[in-house]
Amino acid sequence: MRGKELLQQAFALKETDRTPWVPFVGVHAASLLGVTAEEYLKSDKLIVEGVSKAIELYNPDGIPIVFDLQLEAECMGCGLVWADENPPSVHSHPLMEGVELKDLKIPTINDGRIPVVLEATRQLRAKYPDLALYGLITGPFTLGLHLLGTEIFMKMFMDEQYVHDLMAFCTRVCNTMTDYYKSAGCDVVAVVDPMTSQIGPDQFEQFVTQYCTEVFAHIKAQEMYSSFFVCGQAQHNIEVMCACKPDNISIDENIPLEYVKDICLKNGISFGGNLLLTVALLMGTTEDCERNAVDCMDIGGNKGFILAPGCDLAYSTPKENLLAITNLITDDYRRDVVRALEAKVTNVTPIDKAVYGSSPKVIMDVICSRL
Amino acid sequence: MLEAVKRACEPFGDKVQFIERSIKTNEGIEFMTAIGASNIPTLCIDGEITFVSNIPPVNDIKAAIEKRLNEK
Repeated sequence: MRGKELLQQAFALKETDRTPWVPFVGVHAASLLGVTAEEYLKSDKLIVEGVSKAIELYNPDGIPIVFDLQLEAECMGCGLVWADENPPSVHSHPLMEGVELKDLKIPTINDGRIPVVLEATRQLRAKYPDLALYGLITGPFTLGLHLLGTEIFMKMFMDEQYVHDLMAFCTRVCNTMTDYYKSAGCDVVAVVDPMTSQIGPDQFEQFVTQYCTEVFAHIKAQEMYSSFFVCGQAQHNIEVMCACKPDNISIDENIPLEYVKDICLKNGISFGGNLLLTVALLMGTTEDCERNAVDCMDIGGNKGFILAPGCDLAYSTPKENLLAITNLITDDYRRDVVRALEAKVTNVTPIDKAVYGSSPKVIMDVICSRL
Repeated sequence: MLEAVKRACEPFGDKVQFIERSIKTNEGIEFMTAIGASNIPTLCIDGEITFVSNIPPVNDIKAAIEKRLNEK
């Protein structure tokens, strides 16, 4: 069993013969073709070529069409900054520039790059009928943040009704995008809402729960599977995320996989993750990646677990690292070898904190994931 | 986090030095490992992990900077 059928088993919390594998190939596919992220995300031809190349190399059970959380925001007037090796980022927010919420329009099937993504979906559907295709939609809270900017955090205290109105609008956008992906042939809709990691469970329940619950109910009504993607330190929100009733929750390395497994299985929800995006996949050796994958697979087990990176793969992720994991999925012997290999000991030079104390300045180190 | 820290640092001028440590670089990963941080974003003040993951209010960061300046 493989592909869509295997993932359906995992979503249904049935035992799987082997671990399902869903590499979150986003702009990494552009690097496989030797083009920029911007060229790639603006061309249905390149998306089809790039995803096809990734499927040929990494033999996945499921794969996203694109991993671009700015797709909907761009259609609604958010300004984007494009990069060669990253998805675009939002740099302007229409609701902060005089646009009224009531004047925002739900994107149509012809707006922005939506036709590009849907055409790529249709072609990939025809080409790979047995593979699970993931349509990614921007979760309502992250979309609200794109539209309003960080002012949304202030409004959560100063103007609660406005935030509810905004979330209701974003929910309609999510449901519309779900319909588009359904019509183009996707099997799974992933609701990607990373910015929910920035709020606590109380605020999540107050401002997110009812809207995400509606989005997941809508996906189910379309007879598709759903996944709730979050990145960042969102451990405090896993319980409330489960309460929104997705079929699956996928997390990154900020949250221990053991914890997510316990909470998800208790709630009858499958779970996925959380390969190390940078330390192993981007900058590690093939052995680092194998060891990390075996760790995830041993924790995840064979019931409800989907092996995936913590988030979308970096553009320059070496394909050898992903190929090593691909081989490991079906090679029981290799997994035993990796388990038996002694873990590499890394010598870390401790920080000399006296340097900080002796400086007349206060030194602020911000550890972040920005390139 | 980055924007909040930059805004909090502004009133202190050259009394505060701001360093971005991206975990997408070897140097950033080495720093994260050495300092013992396990989540991103993390804000360290004078080598001490002070704020983890959630974006702290700018006033909380300013208060932490002032406290540290007074200790010097």
